[in-house]
Amino acid sequence: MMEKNQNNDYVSVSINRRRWLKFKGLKRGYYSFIALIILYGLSFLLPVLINSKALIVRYEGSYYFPAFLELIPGVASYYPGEKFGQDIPGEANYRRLKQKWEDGSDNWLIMPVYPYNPYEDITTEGNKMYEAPSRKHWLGTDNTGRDVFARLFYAFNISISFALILTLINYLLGITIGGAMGYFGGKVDLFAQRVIEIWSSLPMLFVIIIMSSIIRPSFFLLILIYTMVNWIFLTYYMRAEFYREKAKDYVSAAISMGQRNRTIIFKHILPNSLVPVITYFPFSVVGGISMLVGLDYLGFGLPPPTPSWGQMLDVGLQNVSKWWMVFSPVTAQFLTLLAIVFIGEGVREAFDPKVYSRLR
Amino acid sequence: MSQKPVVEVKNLKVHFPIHGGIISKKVGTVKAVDGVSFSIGRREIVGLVGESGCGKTTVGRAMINILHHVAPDVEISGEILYHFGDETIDFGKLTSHEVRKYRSRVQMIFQDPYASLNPRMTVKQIVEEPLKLHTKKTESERRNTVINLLEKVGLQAVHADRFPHEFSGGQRQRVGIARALATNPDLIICDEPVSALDVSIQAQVINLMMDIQKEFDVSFLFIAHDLSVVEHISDQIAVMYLGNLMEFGPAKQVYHHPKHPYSTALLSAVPIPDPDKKNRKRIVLEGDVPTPINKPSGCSFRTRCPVVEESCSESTPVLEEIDLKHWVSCPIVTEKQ
Repeated sequence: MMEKNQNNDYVSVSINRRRWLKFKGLKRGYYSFIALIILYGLSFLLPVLINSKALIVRYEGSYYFPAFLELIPGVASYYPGEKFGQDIPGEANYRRLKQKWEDGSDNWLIMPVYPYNPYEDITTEGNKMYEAPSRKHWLGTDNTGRDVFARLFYAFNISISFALILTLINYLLGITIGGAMGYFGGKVDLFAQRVIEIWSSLPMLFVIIIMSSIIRPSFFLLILIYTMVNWIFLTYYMRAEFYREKAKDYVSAAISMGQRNRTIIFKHILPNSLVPVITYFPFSVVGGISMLVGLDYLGFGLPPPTPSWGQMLDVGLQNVSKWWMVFSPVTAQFLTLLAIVFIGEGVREAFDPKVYSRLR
Repeated sequence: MSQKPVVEVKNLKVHFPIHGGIISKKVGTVKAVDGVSFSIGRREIVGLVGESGCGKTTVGRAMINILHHVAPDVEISGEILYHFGDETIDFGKLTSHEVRKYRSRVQMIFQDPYASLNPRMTVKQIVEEPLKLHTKKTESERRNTVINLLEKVGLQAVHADRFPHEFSGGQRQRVGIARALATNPDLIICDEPVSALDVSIQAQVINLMMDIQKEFDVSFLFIAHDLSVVEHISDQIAVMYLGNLMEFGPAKQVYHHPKHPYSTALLSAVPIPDPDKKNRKRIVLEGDVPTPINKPSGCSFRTRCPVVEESCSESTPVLEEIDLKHWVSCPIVTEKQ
């Protein structure tokens, strides 16, 4: 396959570029990919989109940007109520300030598109439990008066980040260890196989539950616990791929010209053995998300009040009559997982070698 | 001036252990190569023939020391002495680290042109890889060298930026030849370089290799099972059977007047495109090749040999020079001389 470059010359297309072009041609997967990338990118800007803090406050000649400050980690975005002439304890209530300043005062403020944050519960004035969806709370409120819509989106960010980081660490570990087993073979392989067999026979669900009940799990602790078991299945793929690839003549050629082990592994074998793990990547992300939802549902996941679909599902199922609390997390989860599965399907098809063997 | 040969192989043995049982203890050995000795002179093409499974390829791979990465527990003994200038190096004795700096002197052309080129690298990257390792050329010098080499093997400069899958089998094999030539080696081991190609392409590639041999002053070990091809290209022919060398001598002599009963039988099977010779006697060997795990005692060919005697099972025959530079490993033939 050839394509034109900037100079209008025909150039050969590498396998990876061809796969990307093929993936782009598979509309369902490609659009899911674009949509998910945009949504995930936007979800890092959530503090300025869905937040109870004002974007800009102008108070007696000075400007304040509380919501934007929240985007920068480690910078305090906390302004006490007294600062803006509010007679309340704790942080300023920007929604009330807006109402107060609406009748012709010099001070003004701009609120985010959706002026509620996922943590403010019944203790914040004006919030009620089990509020049905309305123009104020688009998807109602939950058992502690927190806004479901806001929580849904914050949970989206956390779920995807969790699954992505988990998958990446798993891949790094699994590919390295599996690749080393396959490349060096012999005693290294034999020993590592036995260790993996012992390790994988640990009942990991119980280990996680026990660990979660002893130490309070955090985002990274959960990832750590999960990676302890999850890298194992990748070593099976990589080990077999390395065994197969290293017996091919192009590896023999590299050895016979005196190439270093490192170069042979990373430049010759690795790029040729990644196909099964790359096509599995989206499904691994799906697995990560589902796992987090499951653990949160059981109460062994991220500590409250972290927004999470599993916890929302748990609350929803305890109050089935409040339909919005079941409907929202289920729909969000369904759509996200469906999009990722579409991507996975597209990737798998783009990597299908059959098309290329026909071209050859 | 009496020049040293490029390589002398002395009593090379390559044994692959077979593991079995729960604790994978050794239960046997595949004697793929069992005592092979020959030498390849400067600018000489030695053809190594024999039927499938006789250990031809293993000899080639042992000589270039690339068996360990696929079979870490392989047992190799004997000497593989290379003479590079004044240095004499035994490839079999060096560790894989020490052997690396001599790798540029011996190169290999592989049988399957589809598997021997990395599908993710362009032809330029493939051919310049040995240059990167063994020379200190700059990027543009390397590119020139690559294009030069490609033209030498009958490809064009435009092919440099293409990927292997865009070539035919014959073209891919040319890329493999260019890669082997890149470091200007003393010896190129060709492991059935044409048997994966169709007949019309075979002739082109073989003629190309003969031209290259003259131009680059390189020696070839040409492993093949097609006898007429070997006769055409080689100066010397070595005939192998079940891990042993049966006969080694000048190509014309071995091809037209084979001495060893196995060579005689093997060569009588070569089709001759001449209707007048259709009544020539064909020697058909009986039985199958014994397994290299459990070789017959004494001469490995004795189970199928037409001139077998009782003494054949007693001692392993050794190569004896019956004519100038013509060795045969059969005491019966030697006695008759």
